[in-house]
Amino acid sequence: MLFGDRNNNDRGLRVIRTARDKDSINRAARSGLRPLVKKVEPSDKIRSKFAVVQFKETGEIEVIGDYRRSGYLDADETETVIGWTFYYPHSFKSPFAAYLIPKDIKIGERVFIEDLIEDYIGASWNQGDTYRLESCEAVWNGSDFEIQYDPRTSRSDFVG
Amino acid sequence: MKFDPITKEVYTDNGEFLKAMHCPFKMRWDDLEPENAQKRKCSTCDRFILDTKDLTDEMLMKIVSQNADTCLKIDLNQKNIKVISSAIRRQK
Repeated sequence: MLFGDRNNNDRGLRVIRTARDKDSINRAARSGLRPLVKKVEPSDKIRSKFAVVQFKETGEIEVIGDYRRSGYLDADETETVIGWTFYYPHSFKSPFAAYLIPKDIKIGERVFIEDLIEDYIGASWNQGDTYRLESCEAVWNGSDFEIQYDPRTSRSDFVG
Repeated sequence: MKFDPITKEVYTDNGEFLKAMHCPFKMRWDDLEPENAQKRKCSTCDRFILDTKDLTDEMLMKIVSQNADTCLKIDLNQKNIKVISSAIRRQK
């Protein structure tokens, strides 16, 4: 298998859903799925940047995320009120979540995790921003998923 | 055009919303079959995906207004993109 295929669900794999709060975890458990509960731990490797410039005359602001944009703003008309700042750009419902495991899953089964709980870098930009991987293939080892994340994937393109 | 990689929303330079990018199959550009220099075909859903690197706002508005489900490819390093990222993405 090519490394480039690893983060996709284009091969008809069983999809593993994620529940992100207590009620949906318990609802899944009652329906016969086994929740594999994990902490939601934001990684400092995932980061986006922004800066805020304010138009001197009107007071309106523009939020920019691209260093190239700075060059297009007229310094006589605008003032940078927040300089370039990196931040973690995701917010989760609860500090825990669970993968919902089907009872008939087999050890060694390759699946597709639709909504990853763990933070992996899915795309990166040469300006320092890194974006979270949403989905990935994984292999069930009997007690957890071994995420088939390709660390060599360094992409700056989006499709959709 | 403007693109927010966090929300995956695409806007014109004037801030007019064009579309929110979403691929249920999580396809990558490299996985698609080249059709010509500007577009590739997805073998999973049979749609074409347009490379936006040579499109103007006007061209993109026309394309999206004719079919709101048109799939796009955007690279953060392409010259006609201004990346905006002021948002926090709230998990569903």
